[in-house]
Amino acid sequence: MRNLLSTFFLAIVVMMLSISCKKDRITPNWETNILTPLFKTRLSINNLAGDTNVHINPDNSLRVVYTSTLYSFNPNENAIKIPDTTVKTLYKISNLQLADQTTTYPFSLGRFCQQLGIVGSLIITNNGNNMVINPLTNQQSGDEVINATDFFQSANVIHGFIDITLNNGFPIDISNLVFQIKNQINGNVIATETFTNLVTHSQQTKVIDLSGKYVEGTLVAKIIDLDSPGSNGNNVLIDTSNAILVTLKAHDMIVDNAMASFPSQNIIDEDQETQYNISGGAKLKTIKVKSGTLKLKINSTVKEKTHFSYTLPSAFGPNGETISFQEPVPAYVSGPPAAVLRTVNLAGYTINLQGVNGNKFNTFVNHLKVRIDSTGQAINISSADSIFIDYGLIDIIPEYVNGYLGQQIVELGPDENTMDVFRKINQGTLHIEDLNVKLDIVNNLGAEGRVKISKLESVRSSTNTTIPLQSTQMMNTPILIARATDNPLTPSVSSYSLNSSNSNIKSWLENLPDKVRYQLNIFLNPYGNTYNYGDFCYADSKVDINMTAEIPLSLIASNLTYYDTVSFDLSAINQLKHLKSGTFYLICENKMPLSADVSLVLLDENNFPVMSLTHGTQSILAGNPDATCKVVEPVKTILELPITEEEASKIRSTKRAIVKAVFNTNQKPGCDGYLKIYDTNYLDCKLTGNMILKTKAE
Amino acid sequence: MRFLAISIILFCIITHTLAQKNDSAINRIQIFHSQCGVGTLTDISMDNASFHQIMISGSAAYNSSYIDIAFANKIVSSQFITEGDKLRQLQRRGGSYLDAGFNYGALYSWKRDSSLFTHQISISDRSLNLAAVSKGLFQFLMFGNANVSQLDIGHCELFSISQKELKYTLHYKPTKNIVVYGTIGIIQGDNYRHGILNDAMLTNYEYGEKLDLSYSLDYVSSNYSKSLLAPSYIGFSLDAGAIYSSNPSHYMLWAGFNDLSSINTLSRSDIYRGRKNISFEGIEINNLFAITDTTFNHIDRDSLFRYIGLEKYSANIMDALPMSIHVGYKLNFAKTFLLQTQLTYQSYHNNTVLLQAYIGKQIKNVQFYFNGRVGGMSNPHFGASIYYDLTHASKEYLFMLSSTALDGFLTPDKSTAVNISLSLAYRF
Repeated sequence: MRNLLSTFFLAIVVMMLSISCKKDRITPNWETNILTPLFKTRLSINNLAGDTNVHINPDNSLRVVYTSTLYSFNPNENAIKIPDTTVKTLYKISNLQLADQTTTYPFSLGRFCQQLGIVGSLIITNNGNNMVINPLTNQQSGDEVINATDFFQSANVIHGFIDITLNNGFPIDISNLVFQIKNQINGNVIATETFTNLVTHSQQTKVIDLSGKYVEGTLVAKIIDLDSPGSNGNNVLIDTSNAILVTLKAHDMIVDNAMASFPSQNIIDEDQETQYNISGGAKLKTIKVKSGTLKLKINSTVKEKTHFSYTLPSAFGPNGETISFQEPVPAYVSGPPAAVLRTVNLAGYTINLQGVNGNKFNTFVNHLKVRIDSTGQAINISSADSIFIDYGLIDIIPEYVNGYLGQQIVELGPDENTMDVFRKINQGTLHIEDLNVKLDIVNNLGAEGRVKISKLESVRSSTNTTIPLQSTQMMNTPILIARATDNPLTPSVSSYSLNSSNSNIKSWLENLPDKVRYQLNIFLNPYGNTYNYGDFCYADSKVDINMTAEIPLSLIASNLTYYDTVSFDLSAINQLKHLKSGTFYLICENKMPLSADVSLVLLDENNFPVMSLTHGTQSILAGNPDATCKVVEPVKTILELPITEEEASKIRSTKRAIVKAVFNTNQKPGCDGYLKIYDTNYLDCKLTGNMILKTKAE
Repeated sequence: MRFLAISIILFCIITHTLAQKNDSAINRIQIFHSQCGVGTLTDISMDNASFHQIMISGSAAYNSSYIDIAFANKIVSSQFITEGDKLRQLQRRGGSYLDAGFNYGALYSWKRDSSLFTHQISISDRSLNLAAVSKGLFQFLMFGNANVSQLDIGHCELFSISQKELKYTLHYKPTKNIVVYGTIGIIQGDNYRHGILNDAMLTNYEYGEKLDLSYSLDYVSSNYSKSLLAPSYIGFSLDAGAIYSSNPSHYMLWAGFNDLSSINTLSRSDIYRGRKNISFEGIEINNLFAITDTTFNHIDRDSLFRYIGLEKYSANIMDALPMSIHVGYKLNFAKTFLLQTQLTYQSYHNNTVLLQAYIGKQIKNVQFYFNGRVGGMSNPHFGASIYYDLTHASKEYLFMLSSTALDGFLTPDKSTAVNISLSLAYRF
């Protein structure tokens, strides 16, 4: 019993201790009601004006200056295009050289005498003695085989010579000697030459032209006729080792097809000119490449490894570097020849387009060279072997060109450009007291032009209203624009002022255009090459038609509706996940003479409406103008934005918001005309919240 | 799960401030001291006989002057706290005091025949949480600020520690009537938090256009403990006292103190200090209609601290545990009845004096007590205890189940205090 009790008590203690050891995190869970400001911001005309510049007039009223490019003409896109040019070349091996080679063979007296019968035996018998040699006629030697297979085994000789030199080492003069060389295998005679009056210890040389002959590497040489007066009755010392020394020197050998050991040589070595066809008759002298590549592809059927060398001598990099490289081309084995590809980035290079002699245009020069090393052993190379080289300049976009840009007329439009300043206004009317608009035609091109604008329309998409610009000085009138000057680039600007008295520009702008529809043509170099190839063009050289509208903020707005989708991402605010419900307050202090009826619809990431924060439309009151029609005291408006529990659960998924604001100027008796906006006018907004928060997020 | 939660509540949310009782061996006394049952156990005997004893004990306590058990139950069990719950606490609140914690540990003691010395070694783990929360802060946390124009948060304080402690106690009996004892403890801290918010005032403006806040805050947090060798803080504690009785079976007198201590956070405390008057009108943004997911990226804890002028730095902090001084008297009368009283003074935050009394009867080897107390930081409390002493031959088993505050259970609409202490001893 005691043991049982002890065990029971111990179990209770252990249980209590184990429970007391637990340190689970307590997560309190209740709701509390917090009233706090959240954020504040000041909206001034600078915020509302977007990209426009706001200037202050002497009376502290404001004017906005809006600058927009109505049209931009880029000649690099529209007029001056460098087309891709790829040149495919085929080189036959027509100039295959063999190395010079010299071979010497002695026709000894002893061996010669063996052909002379008894007389020859008598001479041989007196070797070392003096004797009288009688005259010799119609004598022949035996065949002497000349082995030149180390040099070549066979060759079709296009061009080449063999010099045959006979040095008479006999003790007697030779009055006539006919020397013959022929191929050993096919027996064709290569040369038969006659030497006369070859005095003892003298030599004569005959040059044999081998052009068009087939020459074997093993030749047979033979003296087919030898006549001599003998020793003229005088005793002469007989030495059978005396010999007629025959020296054969092959030189300047160019072969068509040879099985030979070829020396190191350039088998192709030449300049190539490539001419571009550029639209509009442009004749360019230089081009600086902004981007583009040189591409080469080399194939070879030569059964020997070759070395390809490429040089673009007319191109120089920013630091004077040139483009030159070598590529090994493997020996051809069989089947389609393997291709060697090479690409060179030409960005930053300046290419001279005036050819080898500097008297051409649109022409660049390549230098191509193909070399073989000394083969060391006999191989067969023929003129049928070819090197295929494809090269070209691809995707060339110029950074700068000069020369003559050609004469051409570019028709542009009808087309449309967007105009951002009024893009978010889709309803209502705006009346501007006055404005001044300047149209500038800015030519950044180093060439003259003539612009004729036939259409410049203000297009308001929401109402499908179109108002064409009417101006006698601008519309349908050829406008000559001067060329820009270089170093530094200084554009020419032709300015035209438009106002209510010389155009309908006021109603054109009051139409609140979100698009400009245009149609015009530009005549480039209307008077031809008047600057003697002195035209130039940079990559970003454009002809712009810019509008600068200076609009004093003295206006009448009537239901002017601003509509935009803005970024409104609340996902990063962790505290919002505690929001159960509540009411946000947008507290506005408006010191502008404009009232605003606003609605704010929140969207999720799929642009699906989550909730309307304003629950419809709510009004921000305009500032009250004083006796001078100027707002000096702000008017406070508090917008209540209740959030239900259902809405609170969605609010953190908000990514964007659709803002709609309808502006009206605060027209009052005495101030019912144009109202000015001053630099002291602003709209302060503060967002506060009276929120019920859950201490534990769901 | 619900049963477990209720068990935890029953165990943890119990008030126990200071208790003392005598066991069936009338000349022996156990003292549970300090706040909230978080003090370690001191077991003192007037016997001369040799003995060895092993004791394990645990206690948990909860006492709050303004949060009732049902409310606390909902907090710790993550139930939803209704407006009625919150309002009930706000209306019933008589003070600003909260005390919650637990303590468990083991004690081994021994004495040799005729020796004047008794030795004790104990090891314990305890958690202590003291909070003084002003009505204004409670109202702000529970109800927010939306319904008042000005919220006086006043003075608030939080002291929270958890630690392990190794103690050695030496009892010395110089004469047959007196036992003196002294204890030294080594503290190894797990976490330490101490914050004081002074003179805080929050003023609202209509529609939340502006908030004005004035405050003075000092807050220290040290909870970097990675292991026993890398604690958040270290320290020591001293207990000492004396017991006098010329006739221990008739009466006993005692006096002493507990937890005279010092702790040091070893230069690893995060210290937050701020004194500022602030007017907040919202975060300034450039464009209300261009709020992206990065608009509020710069608003983090550091930027908030800068805004409210709260400086953060690191340093070592010297502090001390709440110390108590006590005197007591125990009387046995009419053979089987016992009466025991004790007066305790605690030095901390609000210095308090607590008077408590026990009256009980022994029936064979079981003692029954009723107890009550007044003073301290909250309303009077009452409780009950039971002791069971089972002696066999030279071996003795002692079981004690005690509560000095049952009123949290019995009158939950008036009181919140509950505590429980449980110990099991084996002497041989």
